[in-house]
Amino acid sequence: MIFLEMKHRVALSCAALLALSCASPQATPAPELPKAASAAPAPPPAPDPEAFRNTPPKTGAPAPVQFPTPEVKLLKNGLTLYVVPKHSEVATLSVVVRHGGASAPLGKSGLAALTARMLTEGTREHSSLALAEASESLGSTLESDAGRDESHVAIATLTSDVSRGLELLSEVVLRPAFSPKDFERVKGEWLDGLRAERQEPSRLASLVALRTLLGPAAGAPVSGSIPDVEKLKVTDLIDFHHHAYVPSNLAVIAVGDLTLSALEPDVERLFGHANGPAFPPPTVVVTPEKPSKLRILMVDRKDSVQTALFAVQPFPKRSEPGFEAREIMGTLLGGLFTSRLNLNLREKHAFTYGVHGQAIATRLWGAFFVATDVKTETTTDSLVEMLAELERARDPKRGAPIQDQETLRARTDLMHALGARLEHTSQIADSARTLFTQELPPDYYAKYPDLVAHIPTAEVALQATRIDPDHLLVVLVGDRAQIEPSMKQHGFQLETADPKLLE
Amino acid sequence: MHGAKANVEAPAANIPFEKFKLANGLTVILHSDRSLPLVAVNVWYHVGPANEPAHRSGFAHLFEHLMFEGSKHVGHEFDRVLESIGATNSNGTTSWDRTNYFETAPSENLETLLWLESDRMGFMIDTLTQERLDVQRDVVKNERRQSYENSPYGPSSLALLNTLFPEGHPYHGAVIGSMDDLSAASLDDVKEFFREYYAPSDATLCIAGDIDPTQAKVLINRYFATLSDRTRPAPKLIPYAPITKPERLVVKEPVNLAQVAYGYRTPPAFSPDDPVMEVAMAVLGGGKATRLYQRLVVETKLAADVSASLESNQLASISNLSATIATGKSEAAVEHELDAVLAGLVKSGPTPAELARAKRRILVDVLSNLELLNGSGGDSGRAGLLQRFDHYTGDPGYLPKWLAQIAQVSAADIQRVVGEQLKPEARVVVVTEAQAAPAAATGAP
Repeated sequence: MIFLEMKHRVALSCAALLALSCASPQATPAPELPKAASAAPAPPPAPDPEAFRNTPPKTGAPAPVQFPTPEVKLLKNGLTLYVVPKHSEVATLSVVVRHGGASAPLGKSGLAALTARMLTEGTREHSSLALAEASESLGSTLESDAGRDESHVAIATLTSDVSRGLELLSEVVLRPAFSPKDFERVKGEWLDGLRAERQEPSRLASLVALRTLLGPAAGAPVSGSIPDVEKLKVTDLIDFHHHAYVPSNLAVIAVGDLTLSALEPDVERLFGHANGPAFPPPTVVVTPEKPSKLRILMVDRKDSVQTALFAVQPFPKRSEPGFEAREIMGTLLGGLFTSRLNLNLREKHAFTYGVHGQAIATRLWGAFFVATDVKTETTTDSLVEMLAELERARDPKRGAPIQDQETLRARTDLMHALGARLEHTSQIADSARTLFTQELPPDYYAKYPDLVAHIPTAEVALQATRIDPDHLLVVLVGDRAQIEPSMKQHGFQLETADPKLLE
Repeated sequence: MHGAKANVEAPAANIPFEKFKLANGLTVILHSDRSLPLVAVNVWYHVGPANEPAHRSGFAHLFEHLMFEGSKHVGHEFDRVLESIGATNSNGTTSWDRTNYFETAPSENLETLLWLESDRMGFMIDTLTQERLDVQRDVVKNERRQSYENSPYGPSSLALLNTLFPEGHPYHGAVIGSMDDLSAASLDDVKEFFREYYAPSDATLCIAGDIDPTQAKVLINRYFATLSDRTRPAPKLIPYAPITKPERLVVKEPVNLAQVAYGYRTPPAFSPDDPVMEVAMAVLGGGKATRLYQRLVVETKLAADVSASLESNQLASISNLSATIATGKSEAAVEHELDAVLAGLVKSGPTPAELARAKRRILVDVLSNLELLNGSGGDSGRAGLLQRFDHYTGDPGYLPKWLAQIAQVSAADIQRVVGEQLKPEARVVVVTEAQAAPAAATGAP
């Protein structure tokens, strides 16, 4: 239960929403305005003794914290080791494999995520309970998860327990038991987890939208569809693990008070014997089609006091040039608190507690989405405002061309948010995981500030021309009877979403 | 399992700090750590829903939203300024006893952060209009819809809280408040609340990170010393009765999985039995090798998920045990097992290994938390912990004492305190039942 109430909406994390690897932001100098008198306090001439407050101390952001380049070592068997030294009492250790939800064949959605989960449910040497006791006696739990492009297991340990943490990781990654009895139990638990996920209106909206846009294979949730998971067998997991968890797809990531030279013997001893033929991640690009016109799918949820809205369209995949310009564009449109969408839908109209928009990209596809929960009575107005905001961003002739000031704010946010990740070993480990998964050079984040600082506003505006409100796919989860009349008045047609999309 | 035995020696956890007061009553806590060029500012106002006037539930939180609406010298630019200087993790949160505002920024911009925080501490009501109040009131109502009314188990958790803290208890109405009370809040209420509870002497300013304390003090004086103090009203001591008979509610919601939750009022934050409750909850839940998970999820497969949480507060802490009921299993069976787990813990206590694991998890969690200057809710991370300890104990340096109390908790302590506190006759049980044929439900057999 959460009893804290916050002022800013808690930003939707793209990892939580779509199970993607979030490409993370980082750093550059922004121009500074002249510093106002603050060091040498001359008595203010104004009669108001507080008048000095009228002059802001300064504006602009200094260079963000430099993100380090990890030390990288390729082991003889093809496994990669990333080490990021950071002074901390606690280290984060993780093993990542370059296969995730995108590697599951049609009809076997959930395969990668359930495989990752089963790694921590017993090994050839230790039962599920013994493993849990072992990790918890280190003060931590073995966490495993999968995204579209990767799966991983991680543990946090005290610096003095790093060797033991690595032993646990190597055991679960290389010698999982996949006991049929434990699998049946975990599968039941997992299916209930999927049913619980489908209680969330916003989750239903994104589920329906991505499936409709990307089709049944690429669009299936990483956690799986209920019918697919019901049919999964433990042998499916064993096969997937056998092929995907081979050294050429694996990286060990260690962040903490550690060095590569000190860690390498342990990693070599624990992971160096792993073998298996190359099994590269999938490469067949998914090229979804836009709807021929604005398409609105409705999931009726009677008596809902809010409508969950998820709007999406295809966008370039991760490796297409312009990724960072698209990040800036997404940030100024729907990422910042002062984003265009949030200022409109929340701060001006109070239709919502918050709205989030973002360009996301995986190895095989990309998308631009907007997600929000709006008061039921304002659903149509919210849609109209959202479409208008997107149209203004797309077309500079609509009176709101993208300005230097807002790209600067978005750039600053991206760079400094990356810098702030340096505070925590787990966040650094997340970024290192993205480097490996997306095959980015080790100094990608070290250079990110410079890269982002030099993207001109014109390039951001050019990426915004991809936005296409006339061919958007919109999914609404809410009380249809309350929503439909005003939708009709505005000429919007509601289509009923196929119930299979909710499975 | 041998390989994975934890080292016995635990590192000492400590957050060095300096604490002082300005003449106007503002308390200041400084923590200097120059390892990253980042600084965190975290301001706590010692006011929360516990101080709300009658029929103004949710007001402290609504007020928190208004603190972002601008102030006399900053104008309506608060978030824009923060975003322009590279601030991250900027937010405000309201909990029962306090309200906080925090942000992290490049350390060169400390002065800007102090300019912003001091302006809203001194001059927030000067610019607030009815129109902005109305907008934020509607935003907060949307927050209530999103977090509770339209959220699975949200109505159930409100029901649990309002039964645990009935009408008349200072915590009644939950932090978010009721729709009617939110509608009733007026601009005059806002001004009154600001005058009474947002004076410098009602607040504590914490600055943590890359600072030179001497320079920081110059800036603190410049921006905060001239703010005038006001007198805070004496706390209203409202008598309220302990729970002596169990309450049981059934809430129907459009969910696929039923749930059962036990709520208890337990000893206040930092009272002698509070650390015992902390360890007891870690024995019960939060990991796979815990009692509730093993008994309800693994062995009997009655639950899809379990949780055990403790939220420690000034007047009463809230202990919460809950189980999401697995498809096809009965609520009665789940309650039976929950009760059996609690009875078993009272009867035989945790094993030495269980106790050690629970304490180790608490320690690693704290140390991991110390990596951050500000945590996500402003009551964790180094600045957040300094504030939290100071608010509840008057000593920002309470961390080693607290960890020592955790380390000293014995199996017998747990038997005693769980027996006294988590007893059937003093609990509120809320059962969430699935409404017939939820429109969007699928997949349940």
